[in-house]
Amino acid sequence: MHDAGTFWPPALDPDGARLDGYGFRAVIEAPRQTLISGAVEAGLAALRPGLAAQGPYAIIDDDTYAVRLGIDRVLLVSPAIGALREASAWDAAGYASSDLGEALVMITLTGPAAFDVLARGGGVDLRAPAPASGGAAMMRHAEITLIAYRYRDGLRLHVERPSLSYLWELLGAYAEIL
Amino acid sequence: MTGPTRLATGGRAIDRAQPLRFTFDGRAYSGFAGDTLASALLANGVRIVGRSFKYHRPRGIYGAGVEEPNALVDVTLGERTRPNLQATTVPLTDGLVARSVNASPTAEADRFAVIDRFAKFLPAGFYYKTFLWPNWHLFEPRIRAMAGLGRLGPTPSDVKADQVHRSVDLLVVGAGPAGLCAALAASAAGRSVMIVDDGPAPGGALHAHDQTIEGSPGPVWAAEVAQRLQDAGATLLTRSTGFGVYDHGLVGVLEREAVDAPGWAPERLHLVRARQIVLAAGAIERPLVFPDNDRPGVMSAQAVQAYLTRWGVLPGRRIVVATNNDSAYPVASSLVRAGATVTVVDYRPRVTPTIADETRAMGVTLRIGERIEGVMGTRAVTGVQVGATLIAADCLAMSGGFTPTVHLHCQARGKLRYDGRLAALVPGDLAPGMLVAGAANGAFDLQSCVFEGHAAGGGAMGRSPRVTSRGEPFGIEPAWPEPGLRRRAWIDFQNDVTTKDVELAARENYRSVEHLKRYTTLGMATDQGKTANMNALALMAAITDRSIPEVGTTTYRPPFTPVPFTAIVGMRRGTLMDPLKRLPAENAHRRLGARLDAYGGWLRPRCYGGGPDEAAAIRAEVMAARGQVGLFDASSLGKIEVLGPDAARFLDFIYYNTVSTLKPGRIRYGFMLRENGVVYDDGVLARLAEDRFLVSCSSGHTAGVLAALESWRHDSFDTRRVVIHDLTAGWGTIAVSGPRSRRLVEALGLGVDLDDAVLPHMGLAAGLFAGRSARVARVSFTGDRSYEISVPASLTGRLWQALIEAGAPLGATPFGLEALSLMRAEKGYIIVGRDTDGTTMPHDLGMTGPRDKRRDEFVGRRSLFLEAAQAGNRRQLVGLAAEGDEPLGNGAHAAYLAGERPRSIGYVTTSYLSPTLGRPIALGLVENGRARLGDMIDIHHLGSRRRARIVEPCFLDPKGERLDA
Repeated sequence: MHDAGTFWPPALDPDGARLDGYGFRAVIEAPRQTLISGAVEAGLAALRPGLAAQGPYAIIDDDTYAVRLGIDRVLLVSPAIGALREASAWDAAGYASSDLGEALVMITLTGPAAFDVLARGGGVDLRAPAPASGGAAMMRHAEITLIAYRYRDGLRLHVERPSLSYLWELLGAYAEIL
Repeated sequence: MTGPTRLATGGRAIDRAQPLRFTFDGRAYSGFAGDTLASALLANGVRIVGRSFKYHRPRGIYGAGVEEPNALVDVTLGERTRPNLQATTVPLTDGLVARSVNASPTAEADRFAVIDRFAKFLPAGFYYKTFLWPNWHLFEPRIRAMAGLGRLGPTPSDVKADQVHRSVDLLVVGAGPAGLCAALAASAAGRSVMIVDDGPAPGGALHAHDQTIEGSPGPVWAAEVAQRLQDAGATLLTRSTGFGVYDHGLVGVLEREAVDAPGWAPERLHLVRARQIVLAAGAIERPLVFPDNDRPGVMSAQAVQAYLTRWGVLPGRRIVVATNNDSAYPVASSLVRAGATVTVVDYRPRVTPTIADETRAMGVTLRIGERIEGVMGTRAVTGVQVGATLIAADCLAMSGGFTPTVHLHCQARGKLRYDGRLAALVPGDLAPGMLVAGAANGAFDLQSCVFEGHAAGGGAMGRSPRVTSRGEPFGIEPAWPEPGLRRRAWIDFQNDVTTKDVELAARENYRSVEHLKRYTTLGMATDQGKTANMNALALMAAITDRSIPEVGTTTYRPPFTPVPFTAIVGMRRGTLMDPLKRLPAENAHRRLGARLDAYGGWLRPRCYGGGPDEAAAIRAEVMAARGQVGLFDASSLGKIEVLGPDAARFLDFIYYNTVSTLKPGRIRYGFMLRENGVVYDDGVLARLAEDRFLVSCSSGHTAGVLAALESWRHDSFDTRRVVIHDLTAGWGTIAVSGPRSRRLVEALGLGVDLDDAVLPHMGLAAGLFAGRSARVARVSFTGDRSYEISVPASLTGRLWQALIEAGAPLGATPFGLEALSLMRAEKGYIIVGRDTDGTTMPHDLGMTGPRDKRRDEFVGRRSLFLEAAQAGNRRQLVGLAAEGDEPLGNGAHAAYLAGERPRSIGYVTTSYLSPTLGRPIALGLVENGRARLGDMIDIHHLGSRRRARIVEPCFLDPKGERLDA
């Protein structure tokens, strides 16, 4: 009988997965990831005072930062330390927050071909000048949705866990030619 | 030297220190690095490189680039065969194996050559007329077998192809002098630039001519400019053709021989979005039309020049140059200097005296005001008939003028105008975001090309590069084909269209160019009108007594040059074809022998184990779940949180059912409708807190539901008071269903009070699993007592394993989607999209309360009260109890026979043999079905007829007692 499981390889175990030795290096990491919607400035002020959301074209160089996903939505990324509030909540200050640490997997791309990876799946070139709005980090990449932005000398990608195997296989294919 | 026509010296493009071996039609040849397959074939004296499409006439190389209509070849390198490549664009590589197309066994000795003798019986459209009787389909297989050109390789192509997206300020198509100047000016202004050219090196026509820019020979200048551009960050792609302009200015660029990796196609597809496009694609030389102008050895004059200059190949020793313009004279001079005996036949009655004098002074015989009347030789040119004179010749180089390469301009909806001074269609009104420069714009001299290119790139007036040339007069006088030729003269070499075919089309009233194209196949296939269109338009104009602009052109469509399917497919093949989502516990299911399948965009267990009798395995899963306890991975169900003070009001608007009356910790089943009142999705909603709801939706609908929620939020609500978070990926959910489900959940120790009084059906409680948050929901998709346990996604596999282990003494059995679907059907629980169609409204499913009672607005409400929504013949959900032991066919039609003419009144949506009930059950949508309860109807399926009684859709436990069993 037909078994699609013989066609598709087993799902990727993200623990310790990495691609190395190619034109780019891909490493899966597990920071804390918090989605803030609504009055995002108020949310950031409450959760990480002094932090301002950045667009994907800006070069982020901190361990804790917020990247803009949409007009009223940011992703707060911070080291995975301390107590975790797993439940979503609405705050009277006008924002909602949800922990996305289980929903998203973060991949850090470095190396000379890191930006070429992004160009394989979509038309956004984060090395180009940023639009006046600063842009948003949500984008489509080869039929899946990614959060992508510049981080230090490379890129960071956040992908929903169910799409990780597909993205990882894509990265493996890119590695063959990059 | 590598062949009889290769000169001892010369050839800018080749490296004589690197000989290469290749074969063509089974014969071994050699060439040099830098050769194209075409130049190497010419160098080896190969005259016949293919056979024409229809008449199988011998054909030789005509052009030197993407305009080549004749030299199509199948190329094999290693294990990969690529069909229908233009030999003029194939770089020669060692070990290359090329075969001619449309010839058997070889182009030289094609057994179908005899077809040409019957040409008079095979005019344009002959098969439309000939094969009508008795039936076209009788002849079609054989005709289709004969059609087509190249042959695919013996093994399916399974290579991936690279695709790259690029965004630039300026895309320049064509790296000739105009394109380079445009790129240079734009780059100097700080714009990001990409420049593409189909040649192996930038420079375009500069490589074939002796011209000087900024004090350097053309090719040297081009190389220097290219380097400057790249140093400034511009992207330069050679062997790359901009083949199409698509919506919103997307340009497709195919880069050939770009990738060298095992398992990858050599082509790379660039998808370029540019703020501005400069089209500097040059112009293509037109043939002159005279009898037998398709013979091997009849070539484009510019191609002859290119072969001589770039590849050191002199295609003939006695060459006739036929022209109606001045551009052929430098070609004649070059040929004489290379040692050829040259006769120029100029169609024009007068030639500029200085040109004529200089040409004669070089020893060229000049025949002014004469025309080519015919070509001698079948397999190669042996002579040229000029008036009453037969000139011995082995090559005929011809120039009928130039056609600007305006394909991309026209694809982008730019307009054309006819320029009588150039005898050409040139760009008129420009398309937004696109400029045209150089020869593509009708600027055929170098100075104009440079000037236009510089201006198109935004360069300042008077700052364009300096050109040192003595000017290039053009002085064309049209020499359009004329009707009435007694012998065949070719308009379209590739598609075997002659002047007679165009005349026939006109006689049969196919006078529109679009009709002409389709009737004769003129300009189709790889040619796309590059060499043929202008002559055809002019001939049709002459025949129909119209001007060329009145005749017009056909619609230009991509691609300009052939694009392999592999390049279009890219990497979207095999397991990369479909971005299936993966369950967090997928590998745990695999270890249990799950058979997986794609459901709603997820790879999910269909069933577990079962050997060859999968149906038996599914039945066993049902019986275990009904009798003891079953485990089902429901992680793919949508889990969307709606938060904020207006969340309840928002969901009231979104859902058919009222949501705001739900208490925290309780769950409600509901429908989501489209604006037209049709059911879009169903699912359960849980109220987690006063200002927090969890929307569970179908696995395959999550993205759509999310988009709809966001759309309505922005459209009709204060976005500061309600937000939406999709947490589907963050939670794994295992459903535990069956009479022993409570005992199993208790064994997990989640810290949840499972007493039915505390956690009743449609109740929700929070607990802990492995120290992390867990939710336990009393919802059921089976009709049995069920608990859905949700935990952080990374713990899903651990939860699954814990349930398997704790459930072993209870007889816990995992079940897949098929068993779940069967259990749903036993309960009459619908699957939206399977048990509903594009017309089904909630009242068709028996849920009328909200429509009748709600007074507030909700999505789709208005549509529920339209006349059509309340018609008496709507198809309603019913159960179908079939006679006999076999289940009804899915999709089988329900026919009503009681005193009426038999007609379909509905169809079976779901059908199973119920293991629980031991008889077939089915759900269906039947016209006015609720009023027909108890009726017997016929069920028609694939020629068979069954009888079934219309019953309530719930077959098992209609009172719902098993929910608390």
